[in-house]
Amino acid sequence: MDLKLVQDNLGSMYKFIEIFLSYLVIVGPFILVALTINAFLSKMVKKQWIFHLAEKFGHIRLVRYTFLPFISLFAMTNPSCYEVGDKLKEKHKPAFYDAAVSFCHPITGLFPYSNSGELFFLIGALYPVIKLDLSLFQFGIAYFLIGLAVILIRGTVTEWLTKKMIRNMEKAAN
Amino acid sequence: MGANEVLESAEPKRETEVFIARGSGGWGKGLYLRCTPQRYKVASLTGGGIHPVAKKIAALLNCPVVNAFEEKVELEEMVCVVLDCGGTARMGVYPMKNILTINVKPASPSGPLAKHITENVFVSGVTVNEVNMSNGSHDIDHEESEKKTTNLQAEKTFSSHSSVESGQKEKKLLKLLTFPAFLLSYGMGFLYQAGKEAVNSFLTHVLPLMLGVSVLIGSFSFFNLEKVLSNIVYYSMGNLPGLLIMAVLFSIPIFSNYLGAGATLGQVLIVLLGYEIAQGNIDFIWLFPALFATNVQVGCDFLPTALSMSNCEEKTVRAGLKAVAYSRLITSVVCVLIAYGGAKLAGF
Repeated sequence: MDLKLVQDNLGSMYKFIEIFLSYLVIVGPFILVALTINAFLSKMVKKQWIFHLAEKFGHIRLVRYTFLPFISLFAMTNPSCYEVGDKLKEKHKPAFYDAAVSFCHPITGLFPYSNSGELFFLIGALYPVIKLDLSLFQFGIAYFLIGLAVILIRGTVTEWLTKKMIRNMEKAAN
Repeated sequence: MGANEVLESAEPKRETEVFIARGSGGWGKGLYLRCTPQRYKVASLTGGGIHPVAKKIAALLNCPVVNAFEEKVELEEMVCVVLDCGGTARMGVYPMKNILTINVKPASPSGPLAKHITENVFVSGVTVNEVNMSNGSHDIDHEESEKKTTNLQAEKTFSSHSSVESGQKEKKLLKLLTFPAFLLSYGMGFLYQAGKEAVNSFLTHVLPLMLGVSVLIGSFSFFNLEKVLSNIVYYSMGNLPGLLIMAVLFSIPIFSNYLGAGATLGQVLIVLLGYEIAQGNIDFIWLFPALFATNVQVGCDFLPTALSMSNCEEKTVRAGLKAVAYSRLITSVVCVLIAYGGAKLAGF
């Protein structure tokens, strides 16, 4: 390859090119294809369905802190998905945001388009996965499921704290 | 209260206009700001208190300035919003809502909301020196541009209505025959658009990151510091106590507001850890707890904006700001442990 020529010419400076190319070749194609498939799929889900879902099933804790953050991130992507919180009860809004934003990065393992502006965690993590010849799906699903467990706990704790803070403020006002 | 007093005293000077020029390295043509009875608050959304730029604008316009991290401001009441966004999220949301946005960092439109960031509503790289009184009357009116867009939308919906009506007149048989072709072109259009968006975000977000990463890691090996790097990464992220300490440290409310901006520290740490794991210096299992430990502060900087997007009341915003900060502190250790256990269960 011609790269040998560059390598001889640059000497120790070649290390920069080597690392860049290894990232580009190892992680690049997977991210490009996954972004395209995911972008196509998330166009299939309509915004109104999610708002409807949030209104109907928003009172169930398991739905509110696991499925709803996932589906709103999947269909509406990172900054606009927090509008779904509008359809929830007032005391649940901060906790829903906490759950949704904490799921921003775990979701990228399977659905990178949901947070296409901030893929840095995925790139850093995919590099060893592919280089050590581990299963991408196993990694993606594990990251996704651990993320779901984490946001359920975080959402519940934040909801409890929000209620407590509101009560404290009402007491202070009286 | 206090705001209302300022308002009343400011009544005669309502016509003052402030011009904000583009700063060095910034983007945009510049903005003309003017108070109206509906829009009379300057919102400051910057880390570490109210930014001097916001203070100066408020002083020149003679209107109140509000720290949006502590108090809720209605979108309809904002004259403009001053923020320090180096990333993609905060910078796009306010232009999308058609609110004049002043970024004190020199950023140009990027991110998923880049199409909303136009010269009419956005200017960046602004310092105190770029904020001046406007000398002549100027007629770039914010309200007018709003009207124009709504008119355009009205026209669009009207034309689509008429096409639907004419479409209904077509024969059913013809529709049935052309349906496969219609479906194919419809689907292909979606796929093409999806590919376009993928390439766009790859070029604007992924490729620059890869270049930055390669220079960062390359410079470690260029100066023969690879041993030092792997030692640092091993002792901070290659064992459970190190990760737990890191998670708790990142989730302390004072830090989390600053670290949240662009998740800069977290992304560097994860990339370095990933590189070391790929070299075989650290076990793969540590990747999972590290992914959660370096990311406990995620979204803390975006919290006031997101809560105003979901129409929160002021009381809930104030309670929520505290609740999220303390919830991160409580859950950080639990999350890292869950991630470690989950990774063990998944068989890594």
